Amino acid sequence: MGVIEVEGLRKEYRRARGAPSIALAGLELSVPEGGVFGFLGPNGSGKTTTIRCLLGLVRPSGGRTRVLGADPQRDLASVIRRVGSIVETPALFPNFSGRRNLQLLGALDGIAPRAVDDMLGRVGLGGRGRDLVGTYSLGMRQRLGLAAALLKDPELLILDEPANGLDPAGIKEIRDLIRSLGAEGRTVFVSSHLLGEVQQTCDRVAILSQGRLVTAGPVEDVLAIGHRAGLLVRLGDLARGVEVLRAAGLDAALVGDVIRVALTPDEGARVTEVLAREGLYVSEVRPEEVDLETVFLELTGGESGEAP
Amino acid sequence: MTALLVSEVRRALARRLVRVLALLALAGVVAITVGNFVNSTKAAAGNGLDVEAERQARVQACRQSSPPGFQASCDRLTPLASPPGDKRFKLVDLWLGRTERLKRGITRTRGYVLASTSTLFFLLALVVGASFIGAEYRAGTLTTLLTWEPRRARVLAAKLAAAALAGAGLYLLLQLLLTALLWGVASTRGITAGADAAFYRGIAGLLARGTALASGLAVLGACLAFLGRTTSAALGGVLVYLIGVEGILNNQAPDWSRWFLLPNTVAVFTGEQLRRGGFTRSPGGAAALTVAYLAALVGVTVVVLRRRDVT
Repeated sequence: MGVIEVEGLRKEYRRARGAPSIALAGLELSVPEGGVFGFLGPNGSGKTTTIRCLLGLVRPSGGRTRVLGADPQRDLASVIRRVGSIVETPALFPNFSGRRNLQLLGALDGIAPRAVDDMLGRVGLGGRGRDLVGTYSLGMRQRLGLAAALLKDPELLILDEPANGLDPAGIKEIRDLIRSLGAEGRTVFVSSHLLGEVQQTCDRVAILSQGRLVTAGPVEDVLAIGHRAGLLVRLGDLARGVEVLRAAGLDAALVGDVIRVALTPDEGARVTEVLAREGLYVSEVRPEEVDLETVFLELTGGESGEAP
Repeated sequence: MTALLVSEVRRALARRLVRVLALLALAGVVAITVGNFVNSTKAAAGNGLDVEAERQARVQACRQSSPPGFQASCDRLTPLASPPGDKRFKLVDLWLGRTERLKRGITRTRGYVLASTSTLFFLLALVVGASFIGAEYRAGTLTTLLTWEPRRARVLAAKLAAAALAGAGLYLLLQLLLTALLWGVASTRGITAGADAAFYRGIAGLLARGTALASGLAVLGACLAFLGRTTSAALGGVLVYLIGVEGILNNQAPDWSRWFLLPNTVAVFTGEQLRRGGFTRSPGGAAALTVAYLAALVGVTVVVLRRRDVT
């Protein structure tokens, strides 16, 4: 059994006029223990609603959820000490310093003030901890939210867009931090739209569209779902190379400074043979790599993810 | 729960609006004190005992002429006699009121200082309670808190208790400060005659009842802000209720007014019986009804908050 289990989760928001808005339409999800789990989906696909359901903030219209074995709607309090979370942009009191905000939260769990200082240092806010949160940038608030989530030393972290508002250096820091947290044996459930980051950070991913799960699994397996278009070939005379390959009955096209041939990776020898027969010698043959963004766009149709 | 309550009280008292309102109220207290100090001249000094003697005489006369059971109210008779031109501050003005005749047919009510300031400080308590929760919704901090303490009833209880403590604390501190400062004015430049043990007991009772009402009003404001999710919804709700419901129905259906919030809270505060036509309700009965109304509102708030999505 995973640390997060979601079965047939539905959420409808009533509207004053018209049909209800469906945020989640029977979501199924299982997050195993340990490592970093990426939760991807277009805007409006239901990521934040799912996270809110997991944290007991939103009442599902149907289905079942379990967090560390507890039903968030009934007995989340029994496991909340083991769960750290960020939901969208963390909201803390602007008239308090970052340090005092964390101290007040930490006091709820009997966490010593010293742990607050350590945590502020860990997220790069050691020098700004005594400044008012109202003076913080969006990125600093995000770091403070992350510090609040980590303060409980949780075994499960639920992070909704943790890199939101961070600059490239900050994104790298958070990526390294999340990786290290996963490596420590914690489970990090992270939603993000930064697909490159997810691909670099996560062990497993789930892709959500229109309130439903599209696919889930280890990153390599999900990447394998993507349409592998073929081989990329580099040589001196690209235009002639395309002619030769096409004359040999292959589907070839010039893409930037390489030729893209519609063959599987293990058919590279066939390409080099055809080209060599015509006196063209390749400098590079490699399989076309499919990234998470490609798979994501293929699976979600590149559309807004709102449920029907 | 204690940590949650301490945390909530700190948050309530650290809010900028609370501090600004408290400072304004403090400035008002100082202004009242300075005004009375400046106006309290020694032009006709030496008449304090005469004033009290005159009051005592009227109290005795009242007791002798009143039927059994109504004599206690005679103790509340206030000094009438005041020598012409005597502007000295009278300590009994803190609570006991009196009417001065300025010209033929023109009178002026003096006194009831603590009652007058109570009205303002009650408003302060209502605003403190409403804005405490309204600001939570505006800033979205309730979401963060619920990811640490998901038991909403506990969170609500802590927040309402914090609002009540903040409202009651501000009321009591301001009124005690005002009482102390005006006692100083009366002692140095005014009249303390009439301020006997019964008077001080009366002041203590008034402040105790006022403090309880201030805490109740803070809870009322907080509950309405929880339900309406904004400070303005809470304050607007109170205004609409008092004017639109009690104000109109008071004329349309006077018999119902015995169940209204305002006359019952006035009865609680003054310690006087609520009288509507032939109907009377004791201050204790009015207090019980007020508490019942507040408990019902808290109950509704608990139900709504437990069922509501926090987005």
